[in-house]
Amino acid sequence: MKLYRLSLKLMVIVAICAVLRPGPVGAAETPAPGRAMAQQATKERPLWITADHTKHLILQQEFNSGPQVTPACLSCHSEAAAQFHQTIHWTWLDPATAESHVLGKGGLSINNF
Amino acid sequence: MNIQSNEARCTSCHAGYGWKGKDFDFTDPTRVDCLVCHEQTGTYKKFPAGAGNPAPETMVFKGNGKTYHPPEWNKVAQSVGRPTRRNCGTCHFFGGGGDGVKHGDLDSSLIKPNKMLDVHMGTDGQNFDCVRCHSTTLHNIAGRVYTTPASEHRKSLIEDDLASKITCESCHSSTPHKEDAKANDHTDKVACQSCHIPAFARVNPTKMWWDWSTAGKKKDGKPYTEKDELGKPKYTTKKGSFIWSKNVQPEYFWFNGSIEHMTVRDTIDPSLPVAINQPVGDMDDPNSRIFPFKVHRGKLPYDKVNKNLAILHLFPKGKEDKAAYWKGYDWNKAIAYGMEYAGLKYSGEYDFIETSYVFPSTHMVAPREKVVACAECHTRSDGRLAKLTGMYLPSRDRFGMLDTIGWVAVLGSLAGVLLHGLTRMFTSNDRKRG
Repeated sequence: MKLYRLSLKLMVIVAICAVLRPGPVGAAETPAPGRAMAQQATKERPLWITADHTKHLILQQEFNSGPQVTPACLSCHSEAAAQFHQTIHWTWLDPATAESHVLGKGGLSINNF
Repeated sequence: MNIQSNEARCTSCHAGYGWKGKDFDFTDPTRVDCLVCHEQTGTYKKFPAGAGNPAPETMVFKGNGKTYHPPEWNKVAQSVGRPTRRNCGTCHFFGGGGDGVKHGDLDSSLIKPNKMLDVHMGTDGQNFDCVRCHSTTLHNIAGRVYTTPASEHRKSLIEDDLASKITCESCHSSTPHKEDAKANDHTDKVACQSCHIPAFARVNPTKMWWDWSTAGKKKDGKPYTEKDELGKPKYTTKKGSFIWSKNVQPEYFWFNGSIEHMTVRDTIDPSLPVAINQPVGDMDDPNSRIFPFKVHRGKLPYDKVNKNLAILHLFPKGKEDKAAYWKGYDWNKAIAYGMEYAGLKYSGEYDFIETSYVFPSTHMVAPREKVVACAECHTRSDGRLAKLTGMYLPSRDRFGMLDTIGWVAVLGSLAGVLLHGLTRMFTSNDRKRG
């Protein structure tokens, strides 16, 4: 009969332990490593801009259209248009197959909108 | 649809000036529109039918009845800076002809979102701009493009600090959860987005169905629009019928980052719905993950004889252009014009066919409290992954024989324990006396 009582006691202890086991509530106290890493990686950086475009004389002339503004931008950012011409935002073609002029909005792709 | 023969309307979202037709000079540097991406006044608007140009003088656009003013060029030009969510959103939030039409996870609610809508972009949190993840090299903006995945590998910045910061893993690593969390065992098969984007279009509705076949009906001889209970159009004479939805649960597919697209040159099987594009991936491919998508369905015209989708001429080239569907409402003329313009054959016979188009859901990442619960996939029936078959998903799938063996073992052990225990109880008196 002693053995029977002992096993009963053991079962109760195991049950209590199972209930008190630290669960997801405990997890909230220490952040998950992925979260901590991401926060570390995205800390606020000081302002890095070194130009005030309102002070640039070339932008103070009279403009009447977009194509008049662009040369003013390009007078400092000399490579910007040539770079942009190579991108999908300009060609509307899949860069991987742009030469065939097939894949892309600017080619023969279609959507159901 | 396709932009061929409709340029002046579609290219109001081109970062350029004057793409009206085939003769546009793609080599002219002055045709690049620096301002639409870089201006910071928030006042720069392109005229909807201006081939990328803003209104040269104050003008009303008949399509929406709104007035467009010419920009204050000096102010706009002097305001330039790094692109913000508003710059990118000018086009990407309004693709397909209106707010939230296309993507489901990109619409005007992301101009000033809270953390509940997007945990990274929330203005009450990190306030990320698009370019925080979509990093650039020589004006090339990182992201998925047609068959090219956003990222070929899943390295964190600790492993490779020059990698394009485009994936969740770049910052969060591939074991982002607490050390003993079961969720870490999922990252080789389930994309972060699958659990962390429980639904898209959580603030603004998105278009889920577009049936072009019903277009052309008029009331008292005039085109008309009918609105649904969300305040969105459910019918317009120009475009047909739509279904809009909010808080949409994504559909899930195996995805390696690449999407296959068909073009109007490809042959279709008219007896089945046409998948205009579809995710590439397989559960046996180590680079594939289960990934959430918006699937936009709808009916499009196709060539019944040549068996290919059709290019429609929608937007009139000028006042005399009666072939344009939005002028003459004649499908045959509009298809014939569009196909000839694109240099393709048209038999003269058309019909409509159901189609689908997928958009991966990767924005509108919810705070972790809103994460998809285990039981939404690990459930016997109607779970989120109910359509993904051919694999063993615990709690959804079962092997009859294994279950039987298991239960025999459990019940057998129980019977053994009971028998043994009872025997000990009933024989204990004998032992004491002995």
